[in-house]
Order: sequence, then C-alpha cells, then structure tokens
Amino acid sequence: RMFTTTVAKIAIVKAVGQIKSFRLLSTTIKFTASHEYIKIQGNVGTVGITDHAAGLLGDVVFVDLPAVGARFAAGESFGSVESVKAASDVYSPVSGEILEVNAALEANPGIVN
Amino acid sequence: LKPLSFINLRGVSIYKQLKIEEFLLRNTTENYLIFNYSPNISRTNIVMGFSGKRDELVNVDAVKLFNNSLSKDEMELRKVSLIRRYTGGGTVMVDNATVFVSFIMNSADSSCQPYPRDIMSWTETLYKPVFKKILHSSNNNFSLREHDYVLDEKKIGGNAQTITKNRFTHHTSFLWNFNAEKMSFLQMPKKRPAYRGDRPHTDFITGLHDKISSVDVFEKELHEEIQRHYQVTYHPHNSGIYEQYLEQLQLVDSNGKALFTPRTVIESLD
Repeated sequence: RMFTTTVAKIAIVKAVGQIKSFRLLSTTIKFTASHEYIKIQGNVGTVGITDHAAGLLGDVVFVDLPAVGARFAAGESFGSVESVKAASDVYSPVSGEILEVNAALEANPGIVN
Repeated sequence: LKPLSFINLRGVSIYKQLKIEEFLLRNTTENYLIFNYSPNISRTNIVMGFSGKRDELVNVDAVKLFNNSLSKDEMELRKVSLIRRYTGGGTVMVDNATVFVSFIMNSADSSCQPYPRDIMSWTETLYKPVFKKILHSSNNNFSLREHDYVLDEKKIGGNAQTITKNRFTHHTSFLWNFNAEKMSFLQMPKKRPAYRGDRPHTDFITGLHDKISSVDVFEKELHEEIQRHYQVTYHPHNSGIYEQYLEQLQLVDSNGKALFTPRTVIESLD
C-alpha cells in the first residue's frame, strides 16, 4: 500500500520536483523526495503523505491543515503532521491553491496511520 | 568532520532561546548544539508542545491562583508563564533547575534518517558515553526509554522535535532538580508512556543534582563527546553570539514587517 490519508486537494499551477511518476488509468501519481504524493486528475491534485512516511512518524496526534484558498509554491511547507514528540513539515509537491482539506483529520488525526 | 557550533546560552530565558532555535532551524544551514543552564533566572515556565491543548494539560486555575498571590515586586521574578513552543511533544515545567540541550542539525550531517525514532536513537548514542563518565554510581543506567531519557525507570529528560525537509531540531529539558509543589500545575496527560504506568509526576521523574558532580561537568563531557563526531566551535555565554541572534530575530522588511515570525509564543492563561 503506497498511499495514506489525503491531506488536501490543490489546484495545480506548476508541477515540479517529482522523482517518480507513473500513470494509473487517467490519473498520474507523483512522489516527492520528502514522501508526499500527489494524485493528479486534470488540473486538480490530491496530496497526502506516503504510508512509508506515516509509519516512520509514529502515532499521529495532530495535523496542521492549510486554509482553503491559501496559495503555496512548489516545495513550500503547507502544514505539518505531529506525532507524539515531533512536528514534521509537509511540503506541497506543486504550486497551487488549496481547494479542500480533509476535515476529518481535525477531529481524528490518528486516521493518518 | 562536519562543522558544529556549541553555544552556551547561560542567562537567556527559555522563551528567547526557543525563538532563536526556530530561527536557526529555518533560516540557516548550519549545525548547532545549544546548552543552557541558567540558575539565576528564577521564573518558572510551563512549556507546551505545538498542538498542546492548554485546558487538558495545565491546571490553569492553580497557575492563576499562584500568580495572583504574588506581590507586584514578585511578579517579574516569579510569575508562571505558559509558552507554546515550535516543536511537538508534551508539556514540561521548566525553571532555574532545568538544563536545556538542543540539537539543530542538517539531517545529512547527523548519521540518522530524519524521522522521530531514528533521531532519538542517534542522540542516545551521543549521550550514553557522556553519562557513563559522569554518573557517580554505576548502578544508575542511562538509556532512551520510549521517547524519554531515563536513569533506570525514572525520567531525567523530556524530548521534542521539529523535522523539516533537510533539517531538524531535537531538544531536551534535563532535570537538574525539580520543585514538587510546582509539578501540581500540570495535569496527568491522557497519553503517557507505557513505562510510566499510573505514577504521579514526583514518582516518575528524578533530578541529576545528586547523581553527577555539576552541570559544568555535564557540559564539559558533552562537549568532548561531540568533538569526536564534529568539528566544534565553542561559543561561551559572554561571546556576544546571543546578541547577534537577537538582532537577526528583530529584522524587519521595508514595510516594517518582521522577516521571521516564530511559532513559539506566550499563551494567555485567561
């Protein structure tokens, strides 16, 4: 299993920084070196962190989500995932605007892993 | 050997230290170890992790009662403040008997993966030989237990981290001694390490004051150990480096807006 819980949907302005890319039917999935993934359909990307990264973080206790409408550049931190002792930055794989966040993470951050 | 600056910040408050740490983490690409034991700063602070829920972690009424009992003259020296720090982790009481040791590192220079458990294990390898040398009794065994540094079953240091793409902070508050009365300002956290069981704070933690000669010995041996792994430049507390960092923290752009806004803040108790 490569993917874990979605963090946000982002309208893509510019994609950069991928190290791996493959196509699954009409969806392109890309990964960053810092273990975020983005599932691209048209000009909308769904961003999350990989299972591998989530496993290494430990129990997640808090997810700092971006605001809907906020804009980020590719490679910019757009939030953080906090495990028992560590707050780890999460980086946007692309430049774009946040369309939607996974609000379920606010009440139940543990669903990340 | 990679370079590292070993900085003694004696006399600097934990609030200012945390803001400097955050600045160094996010605005530089160098390695630092910050060591701070300030017995002359009498203020007690409660320091919460980034996402800490104040009302679940702190006995707010007890703190307000204590603060309200102080005279105007005592307020400046003894008022208990609540700080939300930029790293994850739990809530600690810190005061003039706390020894702060903070690593701010490039992940590539630390010989560990930039993940919480790996970083913890890496720091254990640095501290273990230090404590082996400085502990009076060979019956006291230092180790990393879950996320804490312990001597046998009792916690001597609490850890917290922030991890960015290429860098991390791992910082520790070591207990030189502790005030049992002030521990009552903290609530029993819902999430506790398994090895703690239901032990109250006073049965779960222990100070270093009666187990090693002095904080100076701790610093000296830690400095020597770090020199085995890094090209170390030592900055004593009166070197002027603190003032340089403070200046950089206060820089503003042409519109007067701060160039760096730390996440570390003082929280209201109201």
